Amino acid sequence: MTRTSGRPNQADRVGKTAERGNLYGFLALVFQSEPTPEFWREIRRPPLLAALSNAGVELGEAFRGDSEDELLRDLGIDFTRLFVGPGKHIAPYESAQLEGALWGAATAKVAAFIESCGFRYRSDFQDMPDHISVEFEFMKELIGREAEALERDDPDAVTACRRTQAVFLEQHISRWVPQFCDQVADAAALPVYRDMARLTADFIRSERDEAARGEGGEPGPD
Amino acid sequence: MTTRRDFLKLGAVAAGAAVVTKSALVAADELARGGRDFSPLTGKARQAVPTACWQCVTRCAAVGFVENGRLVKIEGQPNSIRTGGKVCSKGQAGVNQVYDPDRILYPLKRTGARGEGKWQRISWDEALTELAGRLKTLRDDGHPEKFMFHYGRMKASSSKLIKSVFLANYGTGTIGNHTSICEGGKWTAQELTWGGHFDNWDFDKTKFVLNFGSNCLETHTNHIPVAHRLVEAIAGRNVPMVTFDVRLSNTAAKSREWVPIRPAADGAVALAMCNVIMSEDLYRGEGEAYLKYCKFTRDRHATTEQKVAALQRHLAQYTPEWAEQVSGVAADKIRSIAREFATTKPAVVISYRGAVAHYNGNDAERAIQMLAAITGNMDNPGGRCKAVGASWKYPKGPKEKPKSKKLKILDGFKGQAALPTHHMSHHVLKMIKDGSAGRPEIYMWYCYAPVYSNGDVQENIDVLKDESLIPYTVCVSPFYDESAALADLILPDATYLERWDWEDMVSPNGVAEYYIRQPVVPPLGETRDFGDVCCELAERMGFPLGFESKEEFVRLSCEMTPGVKEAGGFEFMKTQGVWHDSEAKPPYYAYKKKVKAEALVKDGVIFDEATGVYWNWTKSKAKSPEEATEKGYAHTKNAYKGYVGQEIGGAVYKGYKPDKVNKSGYLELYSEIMEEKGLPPLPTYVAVPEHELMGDDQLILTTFKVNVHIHSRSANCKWLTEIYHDNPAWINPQTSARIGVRDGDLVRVASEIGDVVTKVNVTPAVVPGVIAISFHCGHWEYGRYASGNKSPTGTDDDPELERKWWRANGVHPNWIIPNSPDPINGQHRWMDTVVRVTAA
Repeated sequence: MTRTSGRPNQADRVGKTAERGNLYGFLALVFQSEPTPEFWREIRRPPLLAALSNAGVELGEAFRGDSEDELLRDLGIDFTRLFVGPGKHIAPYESAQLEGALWGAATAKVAAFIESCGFRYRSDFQDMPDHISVEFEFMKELIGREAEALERDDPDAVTACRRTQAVFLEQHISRWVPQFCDQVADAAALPVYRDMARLTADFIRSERDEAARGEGGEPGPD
Repeated sequence: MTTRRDFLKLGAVAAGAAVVTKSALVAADELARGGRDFSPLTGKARQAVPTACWQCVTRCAAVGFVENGRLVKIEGQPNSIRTGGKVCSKGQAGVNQVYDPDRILYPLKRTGARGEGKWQRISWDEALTELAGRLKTLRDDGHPEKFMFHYGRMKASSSKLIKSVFLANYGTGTIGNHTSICEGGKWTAQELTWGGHFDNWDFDKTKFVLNFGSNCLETHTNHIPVAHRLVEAIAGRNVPMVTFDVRLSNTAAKSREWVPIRPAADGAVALAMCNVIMSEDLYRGEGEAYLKYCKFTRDRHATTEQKVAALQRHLAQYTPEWAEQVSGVAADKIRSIAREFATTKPAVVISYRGAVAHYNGNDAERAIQMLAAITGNMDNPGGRCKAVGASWKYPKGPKEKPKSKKLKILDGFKGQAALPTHHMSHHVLKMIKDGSAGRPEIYMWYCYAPVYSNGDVQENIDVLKDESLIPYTVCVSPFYDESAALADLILPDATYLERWDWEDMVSPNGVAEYYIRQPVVPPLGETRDFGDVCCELAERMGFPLGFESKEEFVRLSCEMTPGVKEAGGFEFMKTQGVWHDSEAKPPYYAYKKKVKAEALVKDGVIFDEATGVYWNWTKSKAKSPEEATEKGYAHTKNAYKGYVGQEIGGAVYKGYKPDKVNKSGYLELYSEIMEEKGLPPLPTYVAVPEHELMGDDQLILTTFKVNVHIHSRSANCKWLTEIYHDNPAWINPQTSARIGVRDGDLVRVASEIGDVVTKVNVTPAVVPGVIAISFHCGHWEYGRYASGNKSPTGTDDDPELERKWWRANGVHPNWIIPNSPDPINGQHRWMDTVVRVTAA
């Protein structure tokens, strides 16, 4: 097993891994449900606004001026119209996007993949197993395990975690999420979901490229 | 274009937002609870069949997994309150019992001379026609007692069906057991002190464990239920354990401290500890309060002060300095452990064959009971408690049973043991050889290895082989072992994984567990459960039992037994395997409960002033209330069966209900029963006579069991025998230097009855002056995995036969251990044999 001189960067690597995981967690929340006051209060904090802006997400004037109630109401309306219905909407499920039907073969495969990695769905989880936010949360958990493995200096576990992420990205997320996001960007009424969708699509493409770059190799320094 | 760096920067500041997440996923349990299994090849779920183990007497509830009709795996029963889902290596290797390529699959009849090894395959009809004919002739001639039935392991429903129903209706009382080669002496000592056996150790709540000669992490009467609780106590709660043993067993190794001790000296150390506790007033508090329920003097009305004075007087001779001379354990060590035991509350004192299978074992166990009593560690949370098992109801067969007759060959020669309440099975063949108490015409054994399991193997072979001593021998077994080789007829039994039973072994948590054994797979070949065979034999002899099979017996029992019945009876038990009353509580301090007044005025209940016992004379052998009153409780045969309660200081308590002897309801440490037999009433130390006469060139042979074998029924299990198949004798470096041998050398170990040659393992893990040889090994039959010898009906279809890489199969110590009893209770003295060891 060859190891590059990554040791001095150990803390840095752990930090970067955690950051990547956080972004998955953040995006999971964006697509999970109508915005909650707590979540959007976090987003309105200046550092996050700045970072979002830096990543191309322009949340619009409304974010600075409008009252919270009005803002949440408008966002809720856009979320429902985009992802829930009634009428034409863009279902945020893998099987709906790939097979044109809910609870398809892809749903079962996603659930089996996640369970085979030592997770289970909470007993009070009532949505379908292949919701975009579940797939993102799963990535966040896998990255969390990778960070733990890095911290205890367990290169075999790091490799295993990365491989699992790469396979899940390849077999599931990158097969449908970018196209899904493109549809959302086109259909969004407010800049928030338009830009969030673009950000997500870009991030997943970047993730796919990263995974392809590191495939089969040892976890090297970033 | 957003760069990778921008994404990560966003991730860094999004941490706060990401934690409000309402997640969908949680980490699955690292290990799933048992009860499910999947084929690693096909992913297909295997059929899970709840059943019960039978490798050792613990009989843990278990689950067998079946794939394509074949038993592939055994796991613990996750819903068992006894095991908590655990199972040991022996239990898992039960698979090997079913598929042993040397199994007997059809009835066999001897054709050559007995023991010559020539057999003819016969049908069940031929076998049972011959056997029922012989049995019926004896019965019709008025001599049912000439049919001796001798069992090794027979418990719960098997025991009730075969012994209480079939044999009782046949009319023979010549029924041998094996308890005296097991731990019968411990039971007798308990019967003399607190009534029915046995003691359960409350590891769940204890804070200190004092161990005299128990290897319960490796082997025990209630092995896994006890061992996993002890592990939890030691590893989970840092409970200290101190172990006295002649050998560093794995239990001693897991203790805070192993205290090496000379053989047969446990009683001396226990008495010296009692001396410390009484002379330093460490009994005050719980111990003092408990004295109310104890008998320490002849006068049952003695005050606490009088009891204390009597004890101090008796114990004065047993100083730690005296015990140091006897045991080799330093007096200061005895003092400090006694103080720690007495001042840590609660603490539990445990004991087993290391302390008991000696000439003086009876009183070693009584002294240990005394240690628990004077510190108040009896029947309390965390102490030494009365065991609780399931109470099944079952069909009893025909109402009218013949009066049974028996040959007086079960308890050894007159005067050999004063109170052999669990008989002297190791003397049965000797008694038959002697003939003065009569001989059986048919000797049948079931789940028993009379040749291998008793001492003096050569004599066992000689007697069993001699047709003039026993005209007809019948072996009921799935396997061709050393004893089966001496049968005239072999009835191939189903293994335990192919039969029905209800089970009742005790629960260490004080709540009874009801569980069943059901066939995981159907019996292989033409094998049949002997319970079913008994139903047919009874039918053939004209006394049908009222049920046609063991399955029916178990089904009826499930439908009769309160609790099990309401839970769903037989169908519930078949799917769930185990049941317990979720409302039940452990019966701590049950002896303190007062007896209801109406129970004392019931018909037949009388008061015995001498003992203070209320008892129902109609349950005894007395013919009239006058006779019962005149003879008194202590001297009326079977009076103990009518015990109701014990009067103490004007109130009547449940006390300690007697069993097998007419003990009072006190915890009797002063035993008038022993006194009347001319034995010291209070626990006393006597040296082993042979050890007193030992020369410098002699050693004491001690025996032991290992964690992957049961005594004599697992050497055919390939998974176990692969791990343990050779048993070099352990000797201390001081001993080896004295004899002039080195590690790995061959030595000849000779006793008064013979010698064996074995390798030595020189190790400080055994005390000087002792040679330790394990059981399990040295088979010369029992199939290829055990002995290398193929059985007459062995097949070659086990591909793993080619992978058997080991040749050695060790030596069996019983060739040189004479059958010799503890003179009080008849227990076989496994740990006392004096030997001479020389280079071979």
